[in-house]
Formats: sequence, structure tokens, C-alpha cells
Amino acid sequence: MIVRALAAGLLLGACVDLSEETLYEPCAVDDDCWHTQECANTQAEILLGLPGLCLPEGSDCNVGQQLGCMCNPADPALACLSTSRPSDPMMPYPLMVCDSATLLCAVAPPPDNTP
Amino acid sequence: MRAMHLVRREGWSRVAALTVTLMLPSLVHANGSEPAGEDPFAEGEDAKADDAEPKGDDAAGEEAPADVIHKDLAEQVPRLEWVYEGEGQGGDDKGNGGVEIDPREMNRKIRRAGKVTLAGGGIAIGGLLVTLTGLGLRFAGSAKRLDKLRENGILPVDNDKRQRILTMGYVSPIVMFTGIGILAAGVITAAVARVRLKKLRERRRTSIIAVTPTMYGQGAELHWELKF
Repeated sequence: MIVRALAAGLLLGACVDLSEETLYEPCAVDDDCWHTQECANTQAEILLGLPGLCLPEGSDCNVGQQLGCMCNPADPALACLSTSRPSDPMMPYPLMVCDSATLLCAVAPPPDNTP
Repeated sequence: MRAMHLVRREGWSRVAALTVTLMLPSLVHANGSEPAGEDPFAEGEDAKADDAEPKGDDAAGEEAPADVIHKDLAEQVPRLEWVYEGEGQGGDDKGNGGVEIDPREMNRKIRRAGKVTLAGGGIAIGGLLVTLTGLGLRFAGSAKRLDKLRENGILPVDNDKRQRILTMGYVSPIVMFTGIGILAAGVITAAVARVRLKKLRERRRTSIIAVTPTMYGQGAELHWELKF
């Protein structure tokens, strides 16, 4: 009984899945992500020198939450109002808006402080 | 003339009487030869079953060797056992009635079984080591170690340590399951070979000395065989 429990625990414990740990984590290359993920780095992010995002394989970018990715201004969840990546005080992610002309997340214009 | 005839008749009757007297033991022996031909050492049903073959052999023996002078002595000559090719038992599945395996061949088999047992043990130890390596990789590529890398809650980008932890986490189950497979294969191999080794050793132990008493019509023989 104990041997079986140990064997079952060993077999279950042997299975490692770090995909949850690396999901939406910043990355530069695919090796920074789990083997079932890819590093999605849009052209807009590269231009700004921002790292990419670990996303499941097959998804080019995080829709409505990543700079340079498609968005939908009518849907608040996909209107580039937030980003799924953790906030980094050292390298803060720029504020975004959904460009109604291109339907892509773009850098939000600086707030107009003029009186 | 008459007297001479009587003498001749008397002479012929004497010759006939002498002939009958001389032939009588042979005739008696001929009448009682069938029961005497039975194997005195055979018992019960086996004896009856065994009788069928010697009769046929005797019949064949009467035909083939024409130059046998002393037939009664020839019948007492022990018949050699059949030697089956390929070390076959020549008997039933339990090895009864067959030829025993050459002791050198037996020793070779025992040595081979011993080597297989050792090889199985070696494979098992190798599998254990691979399993332990996988286990080590499992802890080296754990989420805890990845969390320790975080700076302000974020994993460093393009970091060797981060990539190594992820690679070890990916490889560890493969290594561990491979090790478990090798371990199981080694244990099974060693166990099977050990059982075979014990059987072979037991067979050698029981068949090293053979004492075979044999009874003939007018004598006996004790055959003592020691294998080493």
C-alpha cells in the first residue's frame, strides 16, 4: 500500500508544468517561456524596446491587451485599457488606447496638462 | 536273422529313449520359456506394458543375428539406452526416462544465468541512478526555484538561469520515466535470471551422483557415477 502510494506520488510528482509560472511573463526569446508557449513580441513593442510576452503557442499576441495587437473599442475588455503582464516598476508598460482607424493597440498620447 | 532284428529293434528303442531323455529338459524349458522371459524386476502394469516391446524386439532379434551361439547369454547382455540428439529428454516433460544434460553444459548454463543476473542487477542500478538524476532535475527545475529568480515579482528577461530551470523542468520527467523503465527492466531481468539460476543449481545438486543397481539373470551390477 505504501509502495503504491509512493509510486503514485512519484509518478504524479514527476510531471512538471511551469506554464502557469511563465504565462504573461516578459520575455525576449522563446527559451524564456515554457515549451508549450512562445514569446509574442509585436513590432510596436520592439520599436519601443519593450520585451515580449509568454503566450500559448499559436497566439501571435494578446488581443486587446498588448501594444500593436488587434483591439475592439466597443468591448472594454479588448479596448487596450489594461495589460495582462505584471507591472514592472523598472520598466513600466505604456498606457494604450485602441486606435479606431487601425483597430490596433497604440501608445496613448500624453495627457494634456495645459490649462 | 530274427535275433538280429530284435537286437536292432531294441537298439532303436534305446536310441529313441535316450533321445527323449536328452530332449526332455529342452522341451520343458521351451514350454516354460515365455514366463521365464518376463522381466523379473518389472512390477504391475508397467511390467505388462514393457512386455509388449521386448517381445517385438525378441522377434526381431531372432531374425537378425544368425551367428549367436549362446542365446541365453546374449539375452542377458544389458541393452544400451537411446541417446537423444540435442540433449532431448526422450521422456516425459518431467525429465523421466531421458538422458541427463552434460555437466559441463550445465555449468555453462549456470554461469550464463549468473552473468544475466548480475547484468540485470547492473541495469537496475543504472536505472535507479537515472531515476535519481531525474528526481534531482525535478527539484532543480521546480516552480520554487523559478520564483526565487523573480525581481519585483517579474522574471528576468533573456536570463540563462531562467532558461536552465525551464529546460530542467521540461527534461526531468523524461529522464525520470526512462530511469523507472530501465529500473523495472533490470529488476525483472535479474529476478527471472535468479530464479533460473536457482533451478539450475538445484538440478546440478540433485544430479551430481548417480547410483544405478542392475540385476541380471545370474548376477548384479552397481553402477556408480560421479559428475564434477
